[in-house]
Amino acid sequence: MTTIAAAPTAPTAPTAPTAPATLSRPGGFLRDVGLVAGRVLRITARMPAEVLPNLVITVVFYLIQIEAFAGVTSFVGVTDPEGFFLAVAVFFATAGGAYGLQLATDIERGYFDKLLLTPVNRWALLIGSMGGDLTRALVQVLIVVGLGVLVGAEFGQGVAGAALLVLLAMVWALAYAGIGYAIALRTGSTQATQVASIIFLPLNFLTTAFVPEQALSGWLRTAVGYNPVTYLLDGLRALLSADAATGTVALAFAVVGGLAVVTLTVAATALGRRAR
Amino acid sequence: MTAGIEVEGLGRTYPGGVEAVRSVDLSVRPGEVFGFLGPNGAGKTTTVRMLTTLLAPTRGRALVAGHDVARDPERVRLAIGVALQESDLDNLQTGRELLAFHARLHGMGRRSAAQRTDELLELVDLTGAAGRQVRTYSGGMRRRLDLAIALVHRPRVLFLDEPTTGLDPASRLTVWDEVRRLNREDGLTVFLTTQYLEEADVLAGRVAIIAGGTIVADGTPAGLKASIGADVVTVAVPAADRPGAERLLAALPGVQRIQVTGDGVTLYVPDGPGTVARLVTALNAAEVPIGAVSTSSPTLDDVFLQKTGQRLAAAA
Ligand SMILES: Nc1ncnc2c1ncn2[C@@H]1O[C@H](COP(=O)(O)OP(=O)(O)OP(=O)(O)O)[C@@H](O)[C@H]1O
Ligand SMILES: [Mg+2]
Repeated sequence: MTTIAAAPTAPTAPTAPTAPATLSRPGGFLRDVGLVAGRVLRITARMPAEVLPNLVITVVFYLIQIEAFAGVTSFVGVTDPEGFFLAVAVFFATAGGAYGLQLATDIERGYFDKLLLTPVNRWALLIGSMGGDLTRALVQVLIVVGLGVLVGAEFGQGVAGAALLVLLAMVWALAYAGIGYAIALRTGSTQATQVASIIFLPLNFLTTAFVPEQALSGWLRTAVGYNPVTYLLDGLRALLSADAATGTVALAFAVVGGLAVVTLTVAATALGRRAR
Repeated sequence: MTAGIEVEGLGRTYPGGVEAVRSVDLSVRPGEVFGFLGPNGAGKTTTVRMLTTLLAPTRGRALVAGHDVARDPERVRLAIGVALQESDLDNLQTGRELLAFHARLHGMGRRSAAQRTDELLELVDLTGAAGRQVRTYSGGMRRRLDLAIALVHRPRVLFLDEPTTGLDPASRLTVWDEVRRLNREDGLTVFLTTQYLEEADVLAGRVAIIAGGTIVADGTPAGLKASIGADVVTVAVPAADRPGAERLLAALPGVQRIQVTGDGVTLYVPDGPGTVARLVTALNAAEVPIGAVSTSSPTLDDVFLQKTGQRLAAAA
């Protein structure tokens, strides 16, 4: 290091006292995702009233449908009502509790700001909360599938088919969660987010949920053709039946996966706006 | 990293055109307790949200702990602790769980998070309630837990937005003691907003008074009061007679300033007790009905009145 001896010494700026660093440092993405998801699950476990009703309704509906339609479905070409309605039950199971509701609550009550003040990874806030919600959905799907096994649904594709069925259901849950999270992050309102979870009702009735497509007619049939849930249910049913309809399954994954990309993009954009 | 705050021309206009903060300049030295005093809607929270990176400034610049809040928010956040005014806690977790969760979000390992949690629970006197869900906590207990969360990572700069609003007098004293202790023992820089004159007076080494989004005065509490340079004489007069009384009293000898307030007239004079007699005589002669007359040393409220024409208590 050289110094220019002739240089006049610059007036020393008053040196600010340096403070030691704090204990705060980013903990890493995956670790943050785990922490955030853990919190959502801990909270969910403490409000069973948010989860149990949906599960109970799903199970009871399923059992009633099998009984009630057992004699009728064969007229419209359904040979395996246990499997036919299992797809509906799996769909219902993924809609258990509003997605993003905890996040909306946090925003509404100002707790989200507290999270933003920590070095937690911003994406971990979204992905971790979603992970918590999806874990809850997965548990419900597994319970419903287990029930299907108990009542004797066909599972024509064996274990691999069942695994793909759960996977397809979870991709759908991801797509569906994206809507809730996008609304939660956009509006920061629990009410708006809860409304999002009601969207699934008409989606459900405008499908082949209760009747196969051949039995539908007119505008209903047209609407059903545009409804992603139709493709989801067709895919789930194909995975339960003995004659492997690879095309139907692939289409279901494509439609539901495409929808997931769209809704998650909207949710991610909303997060980017809210968390600098 | 320095633990001070430097703010230049900071302002925020909300979408829709509300100019919540016009232009704020201030400088908080490391290790100082700085009081940010102002009535409801003055722009205190908006300023705090900008300084803590939660809200983007629409103009100006702010350095907190040596980092620019707009360009380097992550660095700012590592250095600061914040107890927000309108922020709720997580009701369904226990106090201990919540505190440990925040410790871990700050990157601490499981063991050190647990250790730090115990320390802080002790500090804010919540060890006994640590195993209970937060929804069972009283308002004061929540505030204390919130303070513990703000301190979990040993910040260098602590922001407290109206930390005692809504607390009973005993809890208020506890918070005051804690702020003083943190400042004295840990050298923590504290930026504290308040609507209470007394709080600013008691806690803060320096004070800035904000009204309508602008800083109208700043300095040490003693310096601000001395700047009034006079005794304060207040006389209650019915509203209709105030303009007349103002004219009469302005003519008294030694009156430096005179101001009509919500309940009468306030005079700033070098000799309070001496002025009282002359004031009563003058008003009696003019048959102006008068109520209570008092004389006192100036308070921060008088500073506020002088700068804004309003009493802080009335504006709040
Ligand atoms: N999100 C917002 N959108 C529009 N205007 C806002 C918003 N938040 C605050 N304001 C307005 O900005 C001004 C300053 O508000 P701010 O909350 O900063 O005041 P404050 O000094 O903290 O008041 P208080 O003592 O009541 O907490 C007020 O007029 C308020 O109505
Ligand atoms: Mg405020």
